[in-house]
Amino acid sequence: MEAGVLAAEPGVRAAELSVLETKLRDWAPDPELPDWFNASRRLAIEAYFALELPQRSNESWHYGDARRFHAGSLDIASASPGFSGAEYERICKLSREYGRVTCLSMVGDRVEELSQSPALSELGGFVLPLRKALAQHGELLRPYWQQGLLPAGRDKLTAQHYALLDGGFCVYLPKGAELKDDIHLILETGEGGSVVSPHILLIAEARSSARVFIHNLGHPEQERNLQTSAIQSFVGAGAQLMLTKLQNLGPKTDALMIEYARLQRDSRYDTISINLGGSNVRTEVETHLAEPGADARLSGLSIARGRQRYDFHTFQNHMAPHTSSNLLFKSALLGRARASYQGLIDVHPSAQSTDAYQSNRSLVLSPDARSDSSPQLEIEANDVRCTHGSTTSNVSRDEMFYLQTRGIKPELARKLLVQGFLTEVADRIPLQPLRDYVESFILERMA
Amino acid sequence: MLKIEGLRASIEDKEILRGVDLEIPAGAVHGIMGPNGSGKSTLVKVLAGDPAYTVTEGSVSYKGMDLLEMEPDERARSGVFLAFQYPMEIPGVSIANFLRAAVNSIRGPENELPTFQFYALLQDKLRELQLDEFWGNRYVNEGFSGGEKKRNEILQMLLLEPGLCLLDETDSGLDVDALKIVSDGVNRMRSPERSMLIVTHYMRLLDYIAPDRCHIMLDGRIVQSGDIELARRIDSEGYEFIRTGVAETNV
Ligand SMILES: Nc1ncnc2c1ncn2[C@@H]1O[C@H](COP(=O)(O)OP(=O)(O)O)[C@@H](O)[C@H]1O
Ligand SMILES: [Mg+2]
Repeated sequence: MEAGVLAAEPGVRAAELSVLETKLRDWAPDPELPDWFNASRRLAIEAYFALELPQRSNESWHYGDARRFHAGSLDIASASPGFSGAEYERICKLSREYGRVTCLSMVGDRVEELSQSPALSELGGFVLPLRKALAQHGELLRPYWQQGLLPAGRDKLTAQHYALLDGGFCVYLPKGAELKDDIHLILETGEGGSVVSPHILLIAEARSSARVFIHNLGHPEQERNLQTSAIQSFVGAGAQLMLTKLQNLGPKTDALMIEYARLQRDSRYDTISINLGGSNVRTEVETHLAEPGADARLSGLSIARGRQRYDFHTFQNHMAPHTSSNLLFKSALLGRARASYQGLIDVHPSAQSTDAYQSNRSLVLSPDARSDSSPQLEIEANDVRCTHGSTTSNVSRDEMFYLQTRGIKPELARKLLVQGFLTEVADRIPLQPLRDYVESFILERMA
Repeated sequence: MLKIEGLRASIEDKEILRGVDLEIPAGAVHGIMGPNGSGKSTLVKVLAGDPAYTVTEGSVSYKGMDLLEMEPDERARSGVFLAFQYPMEIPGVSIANFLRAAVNSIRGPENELPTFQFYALLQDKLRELQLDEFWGNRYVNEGFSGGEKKRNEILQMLLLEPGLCLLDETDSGLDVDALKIVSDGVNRMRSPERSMLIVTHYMRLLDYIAPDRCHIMLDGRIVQSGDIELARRIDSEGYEFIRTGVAETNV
C-alpha cells in the first residue's frame, strides 16, 4: 500500500514528504472503525497523493488560492489550546441560557459534553462524536456516508479533508422524530501551525425534524492554522432540517467549509452560513433537490474587514419536478476585505415546475474593499421560474442623510444601515440570543 | 430665530433657489405655498443640509448659528427637524432602534434615556398619534402607505422636540381623520420657543394650524407674503394672480 501511495505521485521521494504527509503515508486502518470506512479513508489518502492542487485557471478557483487550504506544511492538531476563550464562553453561556439543548464541543478528536438533553434518545436518535457513531452504528451510517461527497472524483482538497478527517459529529434522527430541543455543536481549531478536519454527518429520516447549530470557534493564535470541515446532510421524505452555522474562527485561521445536502420528497432544508472570522475562508454549499416537492433555503450573512477573504460557492441542483430553492447571500465589506461569490442553479430536463431564486448582495463600505459576483443559470427544462441577480453598493447617501437629519452622527448612521442591510438574513436565525450575538458582533466589527 | 437671506442653491448645476429671503421669529408658525416644482422641498432640504444641493449664495442663521456651516446631524442636534415630503425607507432598521438612536443622539451622551424610559416615552407618543403599540417593531417606512410615512415623520417630531420644525407636505396622503390627529400633534408642539415652517397645498391644514404668516414661492423665490387670507385666495383662485403680479413687477 505504501509503495502504491508513493507510486501515485512518482516525482515525490519520501524525503520530500512533510511531517503531515509522512503521517498520511504511514496511516494504518483503525481497528475500531468499520472496514468500509477504513477502505474509504485509504482511497482518500491515495487520491490526496494522486491529485494536484487546483490552479487559478480552474474557474472555481478564480477568486481563491487553493494553496491557502492545503495542509502541506502544517501538522495534525494535537495539543488543543483548550476549551476556553471569551468566544467559547459566550457560546456556552448562550447554550446554557437557552436550556434544553444538546451541546458538544470538540478540538481535534477530543470531545467535551456540555449538556445532553434526553429528548433525542427518547425518540430513538443520537448525537455522537463521529468516531463513536461509526464504531457503534457503522452499518446504519454506511449508505449515507457513501451517498455523500466523493473525494477522489472531486479534487485534492476534498480528498485532503477525508484523508485527514479527525473528528466531528453525527446526528441521527429516526423516522418521525420531531426534536423540539436544539442541538449545538462546537468545533474548535487546534494550536498554531496545525490543521483540524472535522466532519459532520446529519441524518434526518422521513418526517423527522430538528434544528442544529454549528459554531466554528477559533483562538487568537499568532501562527497560521487551518480548518477543513464538511457537513453532509440527508433530509428524508417530509423531513425538515434547519441548520445555522456560525463561523468565528481566529484571525490567522484559513478555512475550507464544504456543505452537501441531499433532499428527498417534500422535505425542507434551511441552511444559514454566517461568516465573521477567519482569514481566507472558502464556503461551498451544495443542495441537491433529488425528489419532487423538495424545498431548500440557503442564506448567507458575512461581515469582513482587514484583509479577510471570503469565497462563496453555491449550487442549487434541481433534479426533480416541483422543487424550489431560495438563496440569499449578503456581505458587508470593510477595510481591504474581499468577497467573491459564484453560484449555479442547475435545472435538469425533468425538473419541470421548478422555482429557483438566487440573490447575492454586497455592501462595499471602503474604497479598498471589493466584491465579485458571478451567478450562473443552467436550465434544461422549459416550465420553470428562475430569477437571479447580484448587487454591489455602498450605503445610500439619501439614507445616510435621513438618519443624520435625526441627529444621528455619520458613524452611527452607517452602523445602523449596515445592520439593517444584514437584518434580512439575520432575521432568519431561529434563535433570538444567537441573533443578538450576531448583531452585537456586527456592531463590534464596525467599530 | 430663523433668518434666511438671499439664499441660492442648485442641484446638478441647475439653479433651483434663486434668492430666498425669509425670517421666522421664535414661537411663530409660517405656511408656505407654491406650485409644484417651485422649490419648496428644495428650500427645506437645503435648511436640513441635504448634500445633494450646493448653496451658491446667501446665508441662513438659526439661533445665531451659521446653519450652512453645519453638518446635517449637527443641525438636527441644534434643533432643526425636517418632516420629509418623501421619507426614506430604511429596510432592516426597526423604528424603535432608529428612534432610540435619534433620541439619544439629540440628548447627548450625558443625558441618554434608559431603555425602559425610552420605551415608555415611545408608547406615549404612539398613543397620541393613535398608532398601535407594535409600531416600533416595523422597519423604518418599509412598505408603509403614504399616510403611514407621514405619521411616522410626526412621531419623530414629537419624540425629538425640535426647536425648528420644517413640515413638507405632511398633510398630503392623509385622510381626514389622520389629518386631524397630525394637526392636533402639531398644535400641541406650538410653544414660544419653537418655530415652524409648513409647506402645504391645502387650506384644511392651515385652517387647523392657523399660521401666523403665509408665503408664496414661485420659481425659487418667495414672491409674496401675507396672513392666512393670502392662502385662502390661492386656494380659491390658484396661482395665476401671483404670476401676473410678479410679471408686472418684473416689467
Ligand atoms: N436631482 C435633480 N436634478 C435636477 N433638477 C431637480 C432635481 N431634483 C429636483 N429638481 C427640480 O427642482 C425643482 C424644484 O423641486 P422641488 O423643490 O421638489 O419643488 P416643490 O417641492 O416646490 O414641488 C423642480 O423643477 C425639480 O424638477
Ligand atoms: Mg415638494
